[in-house]
Amino acid sequence: MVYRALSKLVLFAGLLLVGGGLLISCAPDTSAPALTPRPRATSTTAGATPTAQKVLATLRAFVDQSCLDCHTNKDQLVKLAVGPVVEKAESEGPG
Amino acid sequence: MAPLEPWERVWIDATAYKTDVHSLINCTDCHGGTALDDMDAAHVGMNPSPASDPQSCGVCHPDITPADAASLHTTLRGYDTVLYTRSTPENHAILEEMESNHCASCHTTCGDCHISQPASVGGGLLKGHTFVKTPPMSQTCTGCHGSRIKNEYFGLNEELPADAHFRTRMACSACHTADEVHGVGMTLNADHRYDGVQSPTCESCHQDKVGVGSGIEQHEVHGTEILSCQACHSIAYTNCSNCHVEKNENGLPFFKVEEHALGFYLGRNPLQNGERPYRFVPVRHVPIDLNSFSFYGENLLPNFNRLPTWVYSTPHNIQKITPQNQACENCHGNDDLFLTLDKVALAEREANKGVIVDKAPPLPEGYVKKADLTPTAESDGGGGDGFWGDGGSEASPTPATGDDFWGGSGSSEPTPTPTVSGDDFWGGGNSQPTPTPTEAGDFWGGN
Repeated sequence: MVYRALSKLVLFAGLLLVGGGLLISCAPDTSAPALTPRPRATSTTAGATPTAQKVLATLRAFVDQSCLDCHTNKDQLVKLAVGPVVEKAESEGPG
Repeated sequence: MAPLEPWERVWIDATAYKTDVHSLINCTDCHGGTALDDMDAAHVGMNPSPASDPQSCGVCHPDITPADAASLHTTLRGYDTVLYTRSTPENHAILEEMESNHCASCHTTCGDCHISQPASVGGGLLKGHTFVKTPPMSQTCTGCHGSRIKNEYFGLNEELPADAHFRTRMACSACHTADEVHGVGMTLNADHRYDGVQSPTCESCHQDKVGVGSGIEQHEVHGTEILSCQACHSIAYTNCSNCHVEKNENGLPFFKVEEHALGFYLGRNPLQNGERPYRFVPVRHVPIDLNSFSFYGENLLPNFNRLPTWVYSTPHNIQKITPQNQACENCHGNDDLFLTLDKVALAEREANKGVIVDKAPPLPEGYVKKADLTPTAESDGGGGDGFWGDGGSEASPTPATGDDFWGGSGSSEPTPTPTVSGDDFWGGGNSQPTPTPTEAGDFWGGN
């Protein structure tokens, strides 16, 4: 009797674990993409004009990571971003 | 076009943006502020639109920004030209205040086309802060050039087909080159969009179809100095009789266009010169009357009659076959097609005396009426679809004759829907594919 009850419990726990694992693996990844620091003069600069190439060569290293950390994080922006206050337009006719 | 969600307006697409050369520049180098984890502190002194100062972009793009800073897109000088000509210097300050309240949202910076949507359609980043080399026309160009150009070009005016060039999937940039919209090589400090050289011109693509020697009967007869191309190849367009601007009790500016109607009228060319020698051109009523700005003061336009209210126009609804080019008598002797005195408001007759046509030109003496010209290979110079470009174009639908093309009721063939997908049509080779426009809401990005 006790053995049968224990078997059911183990089976239930096993199913719960497998189901939970499946749910976790199927959940969409909503985390912000990881931004890895980039070296200067990558192929990104290939299309830049000669003038721009000169300017790029004088740029300081990219240090504004905290700006990107927030502005690439959709979930965080959904919570924080506030749209402009727009009153109901009263205009009439073709603009 | 539905406004962007608040988060979407400021969201940087990390995957796309890291391939953009501009991502090598520190955010604060352009936007100011401070890179901090505290949002409020980080945004102190931050400039959301650094491209408002042409010098920002000019550091790397010195071949474009000086001309762009003087272009009509940036200066909106065309507004000043018509307002100041109709007014007097003592009214300029109040007119400038009116302009800043009601017209400035169409003022264009580099960023308004290449990074964000223009303010007039709510702003917000176009493609996750990726810089778009060729701005997508439905989010940028027609955001400002909406009620007239967009509706004509896309075929959104009821019962009227889209422009032949739109049907062959030509975006604005196919004719309006980057140099032109940036003012590079254009007339310096132009007073208005028809000041100086013509750009674009129909001839630049249709050179062998123009004037004497083209082999096209109507073109042989009329040459290149009597009529503009649009006089024969455009159809009814929007004419706004007035526009009154005000501010509501909360100080929010708004406008009212009380009367507007579709119509097509040929008038005498008010800008006749060597560059635009045509005797007759389509004329469009611009949205102004004597009291347009009376909210801001009395008699602000004391010289109202200095400029016509029916102005030189190049409607963006070109068709190969139009009601007026199907038979000689559809134009000759047909006063309905011309801006005759009876079609001009009494208060505006003095202003338009240089545009008003006494009566339609008569048919030549001894003219014998022919059967209507039909679009046969012979009558179009044997060019067939080639008239509109090299192959691949859809045949222009023959407009139904009758009221529909003149702005009344009637039926015409539906505008063919572009079926080939591709980013280049909408601009921005690196942009998301635009869905094939099957419903209005989808097409404009709404719903």
